[in-house]
Amino acid sequence: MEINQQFRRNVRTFYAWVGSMVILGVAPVAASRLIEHGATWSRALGVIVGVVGFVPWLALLFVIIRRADEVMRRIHLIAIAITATFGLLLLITIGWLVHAWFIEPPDYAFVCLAWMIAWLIALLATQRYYERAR
Amino acid sequence: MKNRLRELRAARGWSQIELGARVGVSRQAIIAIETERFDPSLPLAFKLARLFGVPIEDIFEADGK
Repeated sequence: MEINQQFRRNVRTFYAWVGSMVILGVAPVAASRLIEHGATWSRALGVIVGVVGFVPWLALLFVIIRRADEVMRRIHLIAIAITATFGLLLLITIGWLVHAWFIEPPDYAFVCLAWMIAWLIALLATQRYYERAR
Repeated sequence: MKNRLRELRAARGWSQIELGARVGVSRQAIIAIETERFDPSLPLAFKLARLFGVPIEDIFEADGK
């Protein structure tokens, strides 16, 4: 691919990334407002807005990983595998802690945030592993 | 798998970014291959061999060889 063409594609991807991040930030606020309204239709719409708000960011992430070269795809694959394992362990731990009355059921936003932080750490650690000399 | 990628790249005075651009991969990919953390796919190995004008065996060597 021509450098100029690639640059334009990267700029488009950057704007799409910014847009998806804005949606990611605004959707939970809009969803909460709709849910607070109280009516069944409003709460249902709130759930839809909350879930759909995540989709552009996830879709763009998928596109970026798909476009990447074989090493970057491997790095992402390993990071996602680590994060999935961590996520499952986190949910199992929370489940048992709640079951044993040690904690109250946590806010899902906290679980989601912990999972995303774990994803970022796994990604950085995997990248570091592939850059370090044997 | 052992390789001579760093040596061949240095001989041509190319940066990792430059080599990556020539074969259509990221700088991270070149780093991962040079540090022998990642074995490239056959298409990428062929691209590298063609770029340096040498047979694949002159760049990559199996560990047990």
